[in-house]
Amino acid sequence: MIAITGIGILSPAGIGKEGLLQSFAASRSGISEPVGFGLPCNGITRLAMVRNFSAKDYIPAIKARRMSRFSQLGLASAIEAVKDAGIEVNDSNCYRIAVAVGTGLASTGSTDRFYEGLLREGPEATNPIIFPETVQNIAASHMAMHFATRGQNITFSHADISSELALMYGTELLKDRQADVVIVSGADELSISTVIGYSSFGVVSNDMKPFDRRRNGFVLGEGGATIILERIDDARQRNARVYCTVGSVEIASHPASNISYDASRVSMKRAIQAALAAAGLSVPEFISACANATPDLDRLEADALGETVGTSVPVTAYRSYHGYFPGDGILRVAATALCMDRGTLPAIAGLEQPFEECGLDLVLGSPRKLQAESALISSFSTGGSAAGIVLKRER
Amino acid sequence: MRTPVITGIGIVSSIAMGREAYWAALSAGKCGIGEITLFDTSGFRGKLGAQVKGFSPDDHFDRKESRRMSRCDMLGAVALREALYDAGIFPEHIDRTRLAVVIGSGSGGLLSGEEFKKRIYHKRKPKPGLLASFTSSSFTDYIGLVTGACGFRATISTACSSSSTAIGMAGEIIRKGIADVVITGGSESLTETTFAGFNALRAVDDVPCRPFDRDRKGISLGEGAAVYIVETAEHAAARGSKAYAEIAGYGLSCDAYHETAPSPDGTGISHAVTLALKNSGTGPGEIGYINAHGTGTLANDVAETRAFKLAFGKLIYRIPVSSTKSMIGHCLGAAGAKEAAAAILPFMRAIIPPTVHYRNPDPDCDLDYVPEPRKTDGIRVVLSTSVAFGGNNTALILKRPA
Repeated sequence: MIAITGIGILSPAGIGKEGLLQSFAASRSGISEPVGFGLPCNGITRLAMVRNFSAKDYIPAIKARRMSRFSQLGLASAIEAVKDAGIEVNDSNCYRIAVAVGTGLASTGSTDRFYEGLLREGPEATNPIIFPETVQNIAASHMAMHFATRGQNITFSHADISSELALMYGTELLKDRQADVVIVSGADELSISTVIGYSSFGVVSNDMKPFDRRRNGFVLGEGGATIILERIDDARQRNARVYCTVGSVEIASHPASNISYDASRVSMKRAIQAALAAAGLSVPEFISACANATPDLDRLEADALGETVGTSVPVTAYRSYHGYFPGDGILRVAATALCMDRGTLPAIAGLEQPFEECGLDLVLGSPRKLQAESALISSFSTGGSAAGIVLKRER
Repeated sequence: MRTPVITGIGIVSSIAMGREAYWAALSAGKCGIGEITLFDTSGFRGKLGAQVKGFSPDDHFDRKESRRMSRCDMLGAVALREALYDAGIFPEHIDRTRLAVVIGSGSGGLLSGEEFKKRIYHKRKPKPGLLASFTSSSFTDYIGLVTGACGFRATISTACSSSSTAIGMAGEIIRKGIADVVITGGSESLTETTFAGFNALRAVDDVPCRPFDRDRKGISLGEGAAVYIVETAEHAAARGSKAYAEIAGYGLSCDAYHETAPSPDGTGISHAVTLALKNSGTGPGEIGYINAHGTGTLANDVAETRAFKLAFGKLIYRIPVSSTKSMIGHCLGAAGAKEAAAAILPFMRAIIPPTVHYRNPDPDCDLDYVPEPRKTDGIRVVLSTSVAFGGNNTALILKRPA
C-alpha cells in the first residue's frame, strides 16, 4: 500500500494545510479582483491568485528571482510537503527519491516574455535566463536541485489529468520498488496569455458556480500542491504520520477534440469504475468532483457520477475555492486527504441552486461533518481523457 | 511474460519521409541540416537547422482538419498513418479500451502559439483556433480522436528526453497489462522560441553540428516525428506480424545539477544507463551499439562520454557510439523517438549509423564515434540515451526480437 505522508499547499484559497482548511470552514473562496495584471481583459476582471506568497520565504532570493511563478509555486509546495513528511535527503538515499510533476501549461508567463523580447528587440536581445524556465519540466528540475534528489524525474503535461498521471507514475515507482519516496506535485501559473487564451473559447467567467443552474464558466486560477508518497511499511517503520493511502489511480479515455470533453461520458464512467474496483470498493463515502462550472463538464460529471456511484454519496468540489487550472489534480487530492483527516467536507463555494437535473447530494451552504474511510476524486479532461483516484484511511 | 515489441514505425524527418527511406538515408550518412525557411533567421548567430522541407499540409489533410492542427500535430499525424499501416493494425478491429497512447512532447503547438501572439503584438485580431492545438497533449489527443483509442493516455513533457521516456513507458504499459497495443513516440516542429532560445544560450553551431568533435560549437535544431506501434509479442505473433525490436527496459534519473548543463562528471546519465541495464536484465557486455544523445555542445558530449565510461568500464572501448543528430539535428521533444529508429539500424540494415562531420578527436571524448557508416553483424542489443534541460536523463534499451 502507498501512503501519503506529507502535504504542501499553495492555493489561492490559502497557504499551507491550515490556511486552506480555514477557508473551507468559512466557505471563503480565493477569487479576487487583482490589480496590475492587465485586467480587465476580454471582460475578465476576477482571478484566483495565490496571495501573500513571497517565494523568498521558501527559496533563496537569488534563485527565486530567476524562477518562473510556476517553478516558485511548485517548489515552495514541495518544500512544505517534504518538511511535513520529515524526509531527509542524503548521499545514501538521493537516488531512491523520485520527483513526478504534472502541469497543464507550465511557465506561460516566461514563454510570453521571452517571445515578446524577440518580437520587440530582435534575436540579439533575447534573454538567456528566461529560456530555461520555458520548458515544462523546469519545476521538477528545481525540486531535484533544491533537495538534491537524483532518482527518477518526470513531468506530465496532459491537460486536466496532468498531475493525476504524475500521481499514478509515483505509485507505480513505489510498487515496483524503483524508488522509496516520491515527491508528487501539480502546479500552474496565471499569465495574461492564459486569460486571453481561455477566454477566447468562451469558457471563462467572473463568478464561479459549480453545479449551479446559473453556472457560466470558470474563474482562472493558479497554485501548487505537493504530496509525499511512500510504501506504508516504510512510513510506519520511521513512525511517519500517514494521512491516508492511495487506493487506486486509473486512467481512461475516449475520442474527443482537444477543446471538448467526452460527451458520451464513457471514459469518465470507466475511470471511476476501474478506480473503485482496483481499490476494492463498490461505493466511496464521499466524492471530490472536478466540476469547473462550465455548462458541459458539470452536467457530464453529474451524470457520470449518478450512473456509477448513484446519487446518495455526498459530493463536494474545490475548484471554486482555488479557481480552475489544469494541473490542480494534486491540490484536489491533498484537499481530499485533509477533509478525510479532519472529518469535514467544505460547502461548494458559489453554489446556490443546483441545476435541475442534478440529483447529486451536493454539500451546499455550510460544511458537512463526515468521518469517511474512503473518497473518490474524479478528473475529466478536454481531449477525452479521465482519471479516477481513490483515497482510503488506514487504521 | 508480456514482452513489448515494436510492430509499426512511421517517420517524418529532414533526411527522408518514411521509415525505409530514413534507414537508407542514415545508412548513407545523409545530412538534413541546412537553411531554415519556416521563419526568418536573419540576425541569429547560428542560422542552420534540420527542417522537414517541402511539407505541404494540403498533401495530407483537408483544410477543415488542418486549420485546427499545429505543424507539430501534422508532422506527427503523417508518421502515425505510416506506423498504423506498417503494423497492419486497424483500430476498429481491436479492443480500443486496450489501446493506449503515450506521447512525448517538447514545444508542442508553440509555433501556432507564436502566430497567435504575433497577431496580438501587431494589433491584429487573434484567431482562437491557433490555440486549439497549443497544449502539449494536442498530438496525443489527436491520435485518440482519429484512432478511437479508449485506453490509457499520457503526455510526457521533459524537454529533450520526452519521447524516449514515452517509449520506455509504453513498454511498461504493455508489461503491466494496462494495454495490449500502445501508440507511442513524439513529434516536434521548429519554433522561433526554441531557435532563439538556444541561440541566446550560445548553444547553436554556425555550421552543421559536429558531435564529439574537438571543434564542436553547439547543436543544430531539427524537427520531425517518429511514431511506433507497440504490442505484446504474443499479440503480434497471433496476427502474423513482424517485430522490429523489443522494448527491453528503460531508466530515468536526474542530475540535480543545473537547469541547462549536464553534470560534468556524468554520474546522472550513468545512473540512468545502469537502471536501464538492470530493469531490462541486460549485462553491459551485451550492448552492441549506443545511439548517444550527442548534441554537439562542449558540455554534453564530455559528460556523456564520462557517463558511458562509468556505466560500462573498460567495455566501452569496444562499443561503437554515434550521434545521429549530426544528420537529423536535435529534434527536442521528438529526439528520443527519432533516435530509437536510428538505434535499431544495426538490426534493420546491419549498419551502424555514423556521426557525420566528425573529423578531429577531442582528448576528453576518446570513444569510437563511428565517423562513417559501418557494416556490422550480430548486434543484438542497443542503447539510446537522451539528456534534457532540467537534468532529466533517459536510457532506453532495445533488443533484436528472438
